[in-house]
Amino acid sequence: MTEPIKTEVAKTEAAKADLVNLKWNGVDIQAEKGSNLLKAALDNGIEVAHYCYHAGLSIAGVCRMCMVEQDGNPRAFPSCNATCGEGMVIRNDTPKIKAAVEATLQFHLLNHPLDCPVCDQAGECGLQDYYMKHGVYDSQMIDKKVHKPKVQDIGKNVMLDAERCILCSRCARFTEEVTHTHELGILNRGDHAEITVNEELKNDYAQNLVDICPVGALTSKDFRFKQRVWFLKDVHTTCIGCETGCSVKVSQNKNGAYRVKPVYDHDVNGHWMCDDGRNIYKHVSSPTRLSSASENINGLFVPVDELSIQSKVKGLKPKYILSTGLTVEEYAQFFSSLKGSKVEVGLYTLPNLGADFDGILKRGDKNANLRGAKAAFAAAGFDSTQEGLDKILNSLSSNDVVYVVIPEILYNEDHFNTLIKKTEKAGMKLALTPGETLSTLRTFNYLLPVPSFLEKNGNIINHQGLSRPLRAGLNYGETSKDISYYGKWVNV
Amino acid sequence: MKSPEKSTEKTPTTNEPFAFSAANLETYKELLTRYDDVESALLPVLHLAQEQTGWLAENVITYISNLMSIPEIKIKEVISFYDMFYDVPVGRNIVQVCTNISCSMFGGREIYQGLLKHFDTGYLTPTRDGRISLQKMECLGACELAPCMRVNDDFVAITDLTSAIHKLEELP
Repeated sequence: MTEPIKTEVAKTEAAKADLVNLKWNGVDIQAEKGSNLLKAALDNGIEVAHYCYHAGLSIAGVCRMCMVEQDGNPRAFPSCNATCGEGMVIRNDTPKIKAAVEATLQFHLLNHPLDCPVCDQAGECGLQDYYMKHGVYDSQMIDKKVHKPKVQDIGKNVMLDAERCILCSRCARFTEEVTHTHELGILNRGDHAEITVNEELKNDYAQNLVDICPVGALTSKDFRFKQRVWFLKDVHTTCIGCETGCSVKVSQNKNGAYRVKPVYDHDVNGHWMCDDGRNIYKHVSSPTRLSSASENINGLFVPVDELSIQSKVKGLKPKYILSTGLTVEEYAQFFSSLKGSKVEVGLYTLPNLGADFDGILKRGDKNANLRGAKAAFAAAGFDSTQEGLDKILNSLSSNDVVYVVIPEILYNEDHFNTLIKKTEKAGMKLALTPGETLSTLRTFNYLLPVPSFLEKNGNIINHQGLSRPLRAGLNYGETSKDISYYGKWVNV
Repeated sequence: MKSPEKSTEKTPTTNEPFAFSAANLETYKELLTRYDDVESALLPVLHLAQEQTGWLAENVITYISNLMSIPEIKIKEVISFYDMFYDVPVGRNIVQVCTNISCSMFGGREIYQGLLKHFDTGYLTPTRDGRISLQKMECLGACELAPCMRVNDDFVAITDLTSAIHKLEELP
């Protein structure tokens, strides 16, 4: 139970003989023998109110919302702390359970402030949801609510509002069990109990706290007050921040993307993702994002017609330097358009940043689709190594036109600048950039916009060799269909 | 009246490093043998540390955290949960006044309020001479002595505010 990933493995690998039959509210369900009762219900699409239970954390049993009754058992008990057995008959729709959940929710709301209109969690808040379902609408409180510190910046872009907290202890368990950094704990007792941070948050996974907080106690400094959640739509895609390739959802509307949250992916990232991955969308709707083909006129980029660029590069020998952030489909399309033409292609690999692996998810290798790139290069007979790239860079002359695909996220601009410096010998320099107009791009003669990861459909292959999809977000659909933008310059 | 050098005697600032005395370190090792795991020994170890320093400052918590390999936040959780651990500087003598049912029926609450007024202090705040810290408590488990006080380690039966003040003025 403490390690859900293991139970998942067991579930996929163990024989089906391990399954037991249960009856939940009269509905037959199946679950693995000895697995968590609440999880069995949730996996089978049965709604059970809960706050403290999280499949990625240990069992606390403190919120008392998931109470159930079992046939032959006179006492109601929390289902999160029970295990599945053959022939169990469970109900959570009896008057007794309904009354228990109602009463429990009243206690949860005792000191909870009524600031939903200004709370960032509104719309995806456990308290709101269950209040609509199980709430006693007239407050029986005669005493004043206990006030606790609000708007505390506890580091790592997380804001803590102790008043809104219902003490489910998910966050404390997260820092204890997942990151092992032990920053959060519940200090004091009874009414005065509140989540407190020891010094400040120090782990690289702090934004997960915002995700697992069932109420508005922990909110993201980056996202808060930017957008109401009901105006956002989630697009399920893959993080391009490093070679791990976590499954994520990007919340966006017609004005752009607003936040990135992890999606449960048993084989890759489990329930979590790192803080660095939360920033991968920022260049997509950045005001400095390149929107049309531009010509460099004395350091200023002025929009220009693509046809006029084509006339300029005509007759020059094209040389390509691709990035590792393209999709498998884009590489395939690019190399198929090279057939019959003498084009040199190299691969720019992002340098490692930090430790190779931090023990949880984050990896030092920041090349999102290095496996896919290498496979595509090998299949087309090109050299994807640094030596291959150096050979191209050293052979550049004024008869050459060099096309550089700018990596979507540049962690180390200095390293990239050394590459750009080496391209200076080329007669014409074009950059295909999915990101912002960086100052380092001043040495290029022309800039060409290409879709970012949020504007294209395709697959990338992570460090395990698993293929994970990139999906085009809202309003970006048209560019995603045509993926010839890299190859169309080959035969100009 | 003011003697700040005396009141700081038992209240080290957080800058000073804290360590168990040699005798206490022996006691600590003995305490560990009483329990199956290290975490279980936390309560007696905290009492031991508090005996040595008077209150549990940040540096004491850091020391115990390193000594027992327990995260600081866990120790803070324990300290803040129990009334008998002090995370603020306290006076040389701790005076706990019971205000639970039996004692409050005999005027425990009034005695506590009266003492606060007499010594011109607040909950746990040491008096200006650093002599006494007053603490309002729930049941001390000595209802037969009601209204009752606990002065350091001894129960003291009192009859009213005057006798309480009289008892406390005798304290060193």
